[in-house]
Amino acid sequence: MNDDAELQIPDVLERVRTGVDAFDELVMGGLPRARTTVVGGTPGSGKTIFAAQFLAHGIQNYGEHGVLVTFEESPADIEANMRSFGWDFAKWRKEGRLAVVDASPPTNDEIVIGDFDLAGLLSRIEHAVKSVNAKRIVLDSLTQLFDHFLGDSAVLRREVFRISGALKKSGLTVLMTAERNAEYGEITRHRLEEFVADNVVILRNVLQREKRRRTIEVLKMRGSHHVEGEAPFTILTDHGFVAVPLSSLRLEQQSSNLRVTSGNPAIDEMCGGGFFRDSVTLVSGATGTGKTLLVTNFLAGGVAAGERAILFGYEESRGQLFRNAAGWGVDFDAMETEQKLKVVCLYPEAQGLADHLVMIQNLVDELKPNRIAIDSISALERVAADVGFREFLISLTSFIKKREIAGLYTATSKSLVGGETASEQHISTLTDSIILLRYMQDQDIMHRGLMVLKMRGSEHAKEIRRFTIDGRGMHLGEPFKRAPNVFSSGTPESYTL
Amino acid sequence: MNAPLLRLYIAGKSLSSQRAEQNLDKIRSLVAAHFTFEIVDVLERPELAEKAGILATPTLAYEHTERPRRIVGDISDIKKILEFLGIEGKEEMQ
Repeated sequence: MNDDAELQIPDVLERVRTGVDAFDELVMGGLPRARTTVVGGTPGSGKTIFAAQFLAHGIQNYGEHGVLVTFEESPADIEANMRSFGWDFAKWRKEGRLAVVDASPPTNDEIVIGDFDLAGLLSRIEHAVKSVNAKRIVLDSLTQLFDHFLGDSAVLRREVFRISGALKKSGLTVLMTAERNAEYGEITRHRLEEFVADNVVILRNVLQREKRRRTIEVLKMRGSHHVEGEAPFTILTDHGFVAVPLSSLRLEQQSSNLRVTSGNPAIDEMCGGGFFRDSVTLVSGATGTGKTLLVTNFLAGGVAAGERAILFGYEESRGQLFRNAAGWGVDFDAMETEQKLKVVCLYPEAQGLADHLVMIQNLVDELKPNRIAIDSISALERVAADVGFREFLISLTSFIKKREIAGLYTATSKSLVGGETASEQHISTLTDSIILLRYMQDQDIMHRGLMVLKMRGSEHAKEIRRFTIDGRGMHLGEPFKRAPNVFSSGTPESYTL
Repeated sequence: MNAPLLRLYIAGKSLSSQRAEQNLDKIRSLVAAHFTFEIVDVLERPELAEKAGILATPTLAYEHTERPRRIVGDISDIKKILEFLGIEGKEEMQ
C-alpha cells in the first residue's frame, strides 16, 4: 500500500435526517442515504412512531416523499394514530407526497404449496415509489411479514434481502421495523438484522422502579461512527419522538466570566463576586436549613436586576412557595404579574424524568428566562433509578449552560447534621459551584452554617459562615472559628466560636 | 351464471412463475368446463396486485363470492390444490 492510498478519505455517507434531532446527533447527522436500517423493539416501544416520524420529517421539511408499507396495522388505523402527533398522512396521500402499500394480513384463506417469491410485493412497492417519486421508505413491521409466511423463513430471508437491495439501488433510504421478544438478549425475532441491515437501532421500554424508561441505542452503523450507549427518549403528543442527546453529555460549553447576583450580597462576596452567568450551582442541606430561601433570593435578585426567572418546584405547592416568599419579603405574585417570574409546581411522580426534562426545555425555550431554579433535584431522584437520574442531571445541566442562563439546584441531605446525599454524589462533578447549608451543634445550641465548597474558575471564601433567618431573609454572620467536620454525621467535636 | 374465476398472479418469467403457469395449464385441462382462467403479470400490472393485496408470487386466487381462497406457490401439487379449492369432485365429472 502506498502513501496516497492511506491518505484517501473514505466516502462520506450522505445523511438523511430522521426528525429526531438528538438521534441524528448519535449517528453523525442522520441515517446514511440509500442504506437499510432495522429498528428493533418490543411491542409498545415506539417503532411505528419513530418510523412514521422519519417519513413525516422528510415530507414536511425536506420535500422528500415517502412510502409506507404496512404489514400489521391497516392504513386507516395508522393514519388515525399519527394524527395525534400532527402528521396528516391522509392529506399527504391525496397530495401525492406519500403512498401507502397495504400489506396487512388478508382475511381470506391462504395456504402455501411449493416455491414462491415476493415479486408481487416488490412490484407493488416499486409502483408506489414511482407514483410519488419517493426518497424514503418504511416497512412496518418485517416480523409480521415473516409470521405471515411462517415455515418459509429461508425464502423470506432471500426475498427481503432482494427487496432491500432493489430499494437501496433506487437510492431510497430504507427503514424496517422488527419485533423483539425481550429488552435484552436476541436482537430481533427471526434474527432479521443479520441479513438485511446495514444499521441496527434498538428501542427499549424498560420497567425500572415501577417507572417506564424509554431508550434508543444505535447498535451498528456499517461504515461509519456512532455514539454508543442508550439515550433516553420520550414520546409526546404534537412532537412525536423526542430523544435526549448523549453526545451533549460532554460538557463542552463555553463558560463565561460574566457574574450575576445570587440574590444575597454576602454570598456574592463569598463566591468572589456572584455566580457565573452560564453556570449551575448546587445548594445542598438538610431540611429547614434555608435552601428554598436561597432559591427565593436567587429569583428575586435576578428580577431586581431586570432579568426573567423561572422556578420548577417539586417539593412544595405554589401556595406554599408564595407564602414562604412573602414571609421573607418577596412578592412572587407581583413578579408573575409583571411576567418577570414563572413558577411551575409538579409532583415528581407525575411523569418520567425524560418528560420532566422535555417540559423544562420547552418552557425555557418558550419563556427565555435568564435564570432557572430547580427545587429540589433530590425530589426528582425518587422518579428514576441511578442511571436515569444521572442522565437527566447531565442533560439538564448541559441544556442550562447551552442556553447561557444561570441555574440553581437544591438537594436535600438525608441526615440533619452533615452527611451527603446521593444527588450530591451524582451532581458534584457536574455543577460549577456547590454551597453547603449545615446545622452545626455547639453544646446545647444548633447554629446554621454556610460554606462555598466549590466555585469553578474562581477564588471563593473558604470559611464556614454562621447565618440566621428572619422575616427579611438570610443574614450571614461571623465565620466559625473551629467548626466540626461538616461532612460527617458523627458526634461533633467541641469547638469555640 | 358465469363460471367461477381462477386468477393466477405471476411475476414475469421467474422460474416459479413459469412452473405455476405450466401447472395451471394442467388444472385447466382437468376443470376447464367449470372455471374461467386469467393470468396477471404483477410486473406489468402492479396496480392489480395492489388492488388484490398480493404479496407473494405466484399466487392462485379463487375468486369465490362467499369464500375467496388463495394458494401461494408454484401450485405443483395439483391434487392438493383441487382439494383446497373444494373442486375435487369436478375431476371425476370429466
